[in-house]
Amino acid sequence: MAEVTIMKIGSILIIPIQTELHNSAAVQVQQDIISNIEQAGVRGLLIDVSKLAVVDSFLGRLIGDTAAMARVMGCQTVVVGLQPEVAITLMELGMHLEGVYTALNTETGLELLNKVIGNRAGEIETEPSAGDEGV
Amino acid sequence: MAKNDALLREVVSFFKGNAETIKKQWIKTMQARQLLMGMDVDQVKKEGERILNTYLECLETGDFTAAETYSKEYADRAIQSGIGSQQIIMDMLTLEGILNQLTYDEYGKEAEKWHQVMETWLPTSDTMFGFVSKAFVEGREKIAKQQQEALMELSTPVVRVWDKVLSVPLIGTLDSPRTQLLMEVLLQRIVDTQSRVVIVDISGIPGVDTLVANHLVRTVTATRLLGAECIVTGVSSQIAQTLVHLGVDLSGITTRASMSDGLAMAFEILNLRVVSK
Amino acid sequence: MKGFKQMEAKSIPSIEIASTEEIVAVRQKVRKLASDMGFGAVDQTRIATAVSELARNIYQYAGKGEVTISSLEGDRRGIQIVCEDSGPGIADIELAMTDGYSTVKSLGLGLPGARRLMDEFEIESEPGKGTRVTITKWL
Repeated sequence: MAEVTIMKIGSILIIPIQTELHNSAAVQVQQDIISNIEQAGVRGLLIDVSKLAVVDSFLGRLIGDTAAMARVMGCQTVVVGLQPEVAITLMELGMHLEGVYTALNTETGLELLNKVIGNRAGEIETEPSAGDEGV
Repeated sequence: MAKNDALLREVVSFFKGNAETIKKQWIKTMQARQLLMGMDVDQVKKEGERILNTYLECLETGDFTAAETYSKEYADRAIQSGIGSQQIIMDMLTLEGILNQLTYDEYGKEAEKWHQVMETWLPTSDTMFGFVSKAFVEGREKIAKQQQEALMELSTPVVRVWDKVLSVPLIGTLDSPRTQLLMEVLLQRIVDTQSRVVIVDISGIPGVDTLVANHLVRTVTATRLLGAECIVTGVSSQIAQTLVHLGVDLSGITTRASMSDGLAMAFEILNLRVVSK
Repeated sequence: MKGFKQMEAKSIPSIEIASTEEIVAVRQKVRKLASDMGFGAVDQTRIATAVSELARNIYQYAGKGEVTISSLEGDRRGIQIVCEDSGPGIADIELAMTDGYSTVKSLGLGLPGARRLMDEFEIESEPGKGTRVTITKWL
């Protein structure tokens, strides 16, 4: 059974997805994220998908939905580490992950999140230099 | 079947008995046609012997493994040494012509028998001809594909112009296979160098139409999914007019007129400033 | 008399799809074969993703079905995957092939997406009898 660890650093939740998720596991992760946001004043969501070899429309939609739910709770989402072949496939599939920020790695992802949620000192060291645009 | 077997044996031994004549005739004809140029006497002899022996083996056994091996080996050799398609075709046709003449001289007087003999050896010759031409065409295609791929890779250079900034100066036509390659090379390079900005310069592309614009949009979309920003530069006034006339929507893409404008924007994104000393 | 080589297909045993765990398993199997055959990383991902879409369709619409993966060896090499079920079938294939059309509140990218990712795409369906989708990618 796939287990996904959710880490909370400051006001940001970090979710590294390490294994291929099947339906119920994926839906469970979505549940866990949402309830975490609700309980703990989370402002940003960082989903690391660098270990995923396949992101099909189901998972793509799940990520998009999660981001949309998070957004209505005042929380921004960044997806980091998409593999090049996965990005090409997603694009050809017709999934453009609208409403989700993207970044190359966790570091730039955090920078970007801190910038968009206007994080102040005391949370995570920020260098307000990122200029990435959301998709 | 038994009767055919007997006939087959008769034809094979008839050809084998005349092997020397056939080879001599073959060399003579090929030379008269000014083929086999650039080969010395030994090579020519070998060539004649090889083709005849391969044919006889196929005829005798009914198995075309020998023809397949011969064709592949010959095609490789032909392509490397620049032997043209004319010679490849004439090799087999000349042999067939000689065998035809020989058969006629021997059996021509009895129409029925002659017909049966022809039926015995001709199909094998045709099939072998098929193998030879197929191997040759495939060899050529393979080479053409390799050259094309090499050329495509040359024509999609991805240059690192600054830390975290990549540049792709596109020259020539942007067709689907090339866009595909560009996208794969570019995305991999973005991840390898962890670049944040990509400048795609299209000033070297002669015509930007709906298809090219579409390819650009795809490339930009895929780049963004990775988390990098894509700037398209080199949009001349002419291209801008064309795009608007075609009704192409590039509003989702960041565009700049020149490469230097693009670089300036990349610096802005990275929060860098160029100052004079 | 032996003529030119005919197309030969080698299949690995069909995989039954009855739960979502098997969707993950089937795409790992297809990726392995594609990689062994010499497909590049992007094509491997395209093939695995297309299979994932179709296997999920089987699970979602028919409950269960079968996926058969074969390598085509011959004049032209490729990988072929047949996904079949005896589910409700599709009444209007043209509509089902339209981007964004879905009867189960999904994104409706499954069929048209799988078609875009592969070189060849064939669908046969009869309402009440089932659906069979055959997809091919050439090397």
